[in-house]
Amino acid sequence: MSVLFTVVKAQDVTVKAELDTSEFLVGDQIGLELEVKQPFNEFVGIPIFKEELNKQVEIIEQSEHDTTLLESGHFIIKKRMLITVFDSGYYVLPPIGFLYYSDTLKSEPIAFKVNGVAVDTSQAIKEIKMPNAAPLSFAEVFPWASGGLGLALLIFMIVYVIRKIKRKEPILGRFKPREPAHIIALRELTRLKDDKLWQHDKIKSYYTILTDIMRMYLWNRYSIRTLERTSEEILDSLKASDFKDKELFDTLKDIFYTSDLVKFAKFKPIADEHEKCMNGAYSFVDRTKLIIVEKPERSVGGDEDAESSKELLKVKEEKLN
Amino acid sequence: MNETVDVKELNDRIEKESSFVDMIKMEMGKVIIGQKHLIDSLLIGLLSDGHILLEGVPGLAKTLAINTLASIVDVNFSRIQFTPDLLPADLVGTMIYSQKKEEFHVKKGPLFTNFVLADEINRSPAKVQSALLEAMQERQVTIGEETYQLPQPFLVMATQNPIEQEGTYPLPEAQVDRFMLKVVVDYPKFEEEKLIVRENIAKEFPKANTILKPQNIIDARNVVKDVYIDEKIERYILDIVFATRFPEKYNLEKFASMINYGGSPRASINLAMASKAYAFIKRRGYVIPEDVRAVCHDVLRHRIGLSYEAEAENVSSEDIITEILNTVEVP
Repeated sequence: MSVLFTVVKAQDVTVKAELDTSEFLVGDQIGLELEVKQPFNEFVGIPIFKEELNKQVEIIEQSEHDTTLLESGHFIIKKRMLITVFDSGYYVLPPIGFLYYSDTLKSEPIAFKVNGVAVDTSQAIKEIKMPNAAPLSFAEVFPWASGGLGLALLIFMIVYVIRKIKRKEPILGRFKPREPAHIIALRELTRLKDDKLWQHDKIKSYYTILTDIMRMYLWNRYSIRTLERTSEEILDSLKASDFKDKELFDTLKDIFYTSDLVKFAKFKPIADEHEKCMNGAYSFVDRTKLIIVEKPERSVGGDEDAESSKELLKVKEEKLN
Repeated sequence: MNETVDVKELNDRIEKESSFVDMIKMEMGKVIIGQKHLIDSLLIGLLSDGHILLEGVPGLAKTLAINTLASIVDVNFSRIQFTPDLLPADLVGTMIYSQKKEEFHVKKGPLFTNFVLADEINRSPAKVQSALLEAMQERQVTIGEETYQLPQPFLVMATQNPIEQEGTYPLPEAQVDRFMLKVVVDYPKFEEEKLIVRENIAKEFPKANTILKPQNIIDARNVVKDVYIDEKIERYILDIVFATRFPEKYNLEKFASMINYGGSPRASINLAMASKAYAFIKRRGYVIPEDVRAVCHDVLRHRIGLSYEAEAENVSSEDIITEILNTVEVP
């Protein structure tokens, strides 16, 4: 159904405004067509609207002008708009003005009815139905999925690094079991002995290397920071680490004190003293070394025993002699 | 390095010559309760011809300590209270015109003494501080056209009050470097303070006896210079001072942006001298790493310029020195 109003002006110019229907539901989008028919040598200005025709009628969309040349030599210019109303009731669209030189051609007002939604009051009140969920697209899921994966990877890396640090294992690369502290120390002591430094009057070098070996051993064996500490501080730290063997402690003390005298006070001990310090160092390392013993497998046992038997190595401190 | 030095003989000599150290400590202990570090620092300054900057709140026996030391050594002592209106002439002296003789004559200032306590040195403007610090450095003062040598031994102990900062003129970095040691004086322990109170409310305050002549100190200084310092210790000292300049080379990258400037060559010299004096106090003829570590904070704390980052991170020069000592390898 359409509603048509026209205003005819001289010189054969007509304007009209036409609504697609005179009755529609609230919120429906209805077409409003403005049309001008004019001779080719005339000019009629079609009005420009912004967002609404009046307070109640909103414009959703406006088309470009569509011009058609008729055989009679007239132009028909059309402009189509999509309008809507959000309240029910009777409305009158006021006359729309078209500029014609210094005059204004007006369409007739258009009356229309906007119906509300029929409510069945006999039925119970229902909740408003939520909009239908649109299916998730890959573009929507991808950032979340990759972010979650990245977070999981980061947590895994942090846990991995902390565990490696706690176990004092290299973070990158394969773990290579570290050589036991006493093996390194005994090898270095033997090398020092073979170098015969004090026999060649390199006493200071001899004691410097000897104390370096012992400091390295204490660092590896007791985790005492020795390289940045003085002899006194090292001995204090060893005492604080619950080292109870007084005889061995005194042996180490003698080595450090003699070495300090040689290193810093040009002290030249007799040959016996060199041997005594070397033997003392051997003895200290040998009697404080960590022994790695294999845990015997149990002959009978279930899962628990099998699990336990995997723990092949157990570190046990054993003082020889 | 003097390879001919006989450390055993030197050790024996120092054992003998340093016996007065125990006597000084004993006499000072009669008057000063606790503050062992302050007493040791005073002795280090006295024996190595260096001056001391003391930082501590009022009432920690700073003045009493130097006063007592002066009475033990039988030397003259001046206490100068630095104020904003003090003039250089008030320190070094000036030319006075005598109407009677119709000529100028020199009126020497309070600097012409053996021990000077410059109290609250940062209360006076820079020109007064400069006058004192120049005298400290040159050991001489020029008044008019004449130059006068300051008496020997000459020891300046300056104090700074860390609490009150308003109306003070902080010592410029270049001048603060002239102090061999910057000693931070802390409160006494509970038991020590109990004794302090008891002594001060008694009828008679204990008095230290004079046991030394100035010449004894000058002789002792010569012996301190003979204390043997091995090349390994020299390298250790340089490693510590260089770590304040180039922390990144000593695995201390975290301090690189926190230090504006590190210790000067004067810091290295003073660290070596103070270590020797400390070894002497411990009655040893040679320096060991413990000696260096014992004096390191006092020698370096005022020679490290901290950046804004350090202040923002609440990192002090103390923290930096401690970390350096925990990082630099001990010989």
